[in-house]
Amino acid sequence: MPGDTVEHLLRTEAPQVLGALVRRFGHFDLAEDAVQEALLAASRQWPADGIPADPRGWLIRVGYRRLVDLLRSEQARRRREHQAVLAEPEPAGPAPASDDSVTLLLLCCHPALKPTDQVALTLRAVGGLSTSETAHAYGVSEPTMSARITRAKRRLAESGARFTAPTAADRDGRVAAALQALYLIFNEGYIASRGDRLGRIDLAREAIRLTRMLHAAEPADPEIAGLLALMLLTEARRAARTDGDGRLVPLAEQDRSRWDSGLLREGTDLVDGVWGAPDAGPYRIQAAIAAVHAAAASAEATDWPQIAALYLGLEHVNPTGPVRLSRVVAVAHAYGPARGLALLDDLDERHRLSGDQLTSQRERAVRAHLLEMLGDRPAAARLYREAAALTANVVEQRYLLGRGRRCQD
Amino acid sequence: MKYLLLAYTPVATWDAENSGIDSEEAMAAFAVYQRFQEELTATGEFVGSEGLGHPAVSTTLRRTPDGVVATDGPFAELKEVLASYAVIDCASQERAVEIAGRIVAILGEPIEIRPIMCADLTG
Repeated sequence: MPGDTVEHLLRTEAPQVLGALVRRFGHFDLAEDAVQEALLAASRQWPADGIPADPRGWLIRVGYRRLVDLLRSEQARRRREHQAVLAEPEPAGPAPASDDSVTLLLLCCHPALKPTDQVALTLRAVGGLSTSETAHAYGVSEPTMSARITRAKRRLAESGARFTAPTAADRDGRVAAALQALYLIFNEGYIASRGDRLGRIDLAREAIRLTRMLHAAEPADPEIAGLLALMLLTEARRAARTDGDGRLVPLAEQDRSRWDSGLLREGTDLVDGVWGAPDAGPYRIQAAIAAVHAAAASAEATDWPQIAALYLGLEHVNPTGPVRLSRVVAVAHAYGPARGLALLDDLDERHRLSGDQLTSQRERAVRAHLLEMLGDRPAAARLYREAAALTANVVEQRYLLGRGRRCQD
Repeated sequence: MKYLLLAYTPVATWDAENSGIDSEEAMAAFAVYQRFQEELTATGEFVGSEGLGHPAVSTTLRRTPDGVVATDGPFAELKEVLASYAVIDCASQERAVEIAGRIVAILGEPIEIRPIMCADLTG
């Protein structure tokens, strides 16, 4: 039996099994550990013995037995006591989520947790990844990732977070936090900012899988659909994004025949379906930008004025340095490098893009490109080198140094 | 008269490595029990029955001067613990003993019969 069939089944079942245990017995922290051990047992036994007739039932039974063991050893250590709030009945919320995995996702992305902890807990509890896989994916040691997960669970317990669907009042905030965590997971997989790609769990695909799950549960939510579309449209370009030697290929130079047309169509259809809904948020706008790129048969045919306008809208809802730099690039393409450079100078003066750690590297890279287009090659070469020195990504570093050398020829 | 039938099992049995994986013997006994339960349903004597989780997953609540306190774990640590219960509604204590006797004969573990008190006959 192929091992990845088992692995896929386990990842899909993980949140359902955890949901079943937590719903009945509480103890999210211990139940989550118990499910991990059940998944581990299954990944050892199933490839050899075959998948049981009722995989979920098997996992719940093994997880339940492990939970009993964990509870008993903890109870033996100390009798835990806490004040029970019995006077306050559960607020009458909306109908419970049909699928435990969404309730779990929203719990793991609880606002009491730091984004890095939300991501770690989500990948383990909802994604069914082991601590070592998650640690490897983020380039940190296993004890570090383990401590992160333990801290996240402790904070959840302290904050009194419960395994219940959010109330109508805080639903939007909770979904926004979940979208942010999924977006971070996807970006980490896409950019691979630490080290090389070897042996990494594919975080981008994992993020897409989890976002698909959320979209299936909440098909009417336009921002969820927007985020899924953004991921699909970005993922579609994966094969064209690096050349045979692993070098980064910028969008303009990518071989568009290597873009995945199925993913592009699915992403574009998603954007088209939700674009009319009011109050477009950051994911929908970014998906729309990606869809405009996807619609262009060649780089020259790109509708840059529309992209520049979309970036202006994005800057309104998401006024950050990286968005402003992207708008500069779009304006330069639409109206020429001189207009782009003027906008960059203006934004840099008002928002200190070159001094901010988040944007200092890309500000130099963008300025270098604009100066090169305007013919100031010595200044461009210097800035390419500065930008290369500021990135830890080997692929990007090689690309920038190559551009810098070209300007000196 | 309503009676609560309490079925007990040794904790050691519950904790045994192979518990939760039902032997063919146990499955067969349970099938016989299910047929008996159908009989009782037909006579109108069966009210309800459920199996219970391990005592480790129970929570005990007590009123204290500081408010109601919840404690993880069972009310008391015992060697034999409640594993399932059933409520029956039958004509007499003798009939309740007869019914419980059949279940014990089938499933093998001890059952305690507790009459359920009504408004006209308290504690």
